[in-house]
Amino acid sequence: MNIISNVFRLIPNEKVLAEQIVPTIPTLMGQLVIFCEFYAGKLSQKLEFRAH
Amino acid sequence: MVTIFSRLTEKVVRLCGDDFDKKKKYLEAVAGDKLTGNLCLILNEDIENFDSAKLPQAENILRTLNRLCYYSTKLCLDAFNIGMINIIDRIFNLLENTGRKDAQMSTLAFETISLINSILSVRASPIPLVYDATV
Repeated sequence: MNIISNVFRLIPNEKVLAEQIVPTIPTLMGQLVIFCEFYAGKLSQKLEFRAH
Repeated sequence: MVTIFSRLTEKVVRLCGDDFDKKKKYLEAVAGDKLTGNLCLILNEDIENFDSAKLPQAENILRTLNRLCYYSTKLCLDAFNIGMINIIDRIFNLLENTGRKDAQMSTLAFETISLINSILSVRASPIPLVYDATV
């Protein structure tokens, strides 16, 4: 994740952004959705555990 | 994962300079129809099960939502439909109840107020704030 983050920090111009970065967004979005499900799921499990 | 999108939106805003429409175009491309929803979901979880370790992530999400809402009315409305205003309300309740006056909580308050400012600026933009009496 840090590598991707650093790549984004080094985007040199709009052309690279439009042609090389924007097409990768759907993949990243897929990762975010998985992260989100895990994050929310993990927390709700914790709450269930506390309730028991 | 949240940091990645925060960096990307920040880079878009920097790369496009003064061109508001370009920023809007790229931010909408980056956000698609899922980003605001997922960010709001993570932020909601962070606030509901709050501890100080979650502060950096919450601030990062607020900053990202701030950029998205400032430049795109569409993304702002998406966030509204998902219930962003309830999350903002929860943040203020949290700030009121924690009673801590430390710098970290102040940053959270600052980021939340900045987000509200962005929402208001989107709402106010079609209406001129000052009328030219000579016209």
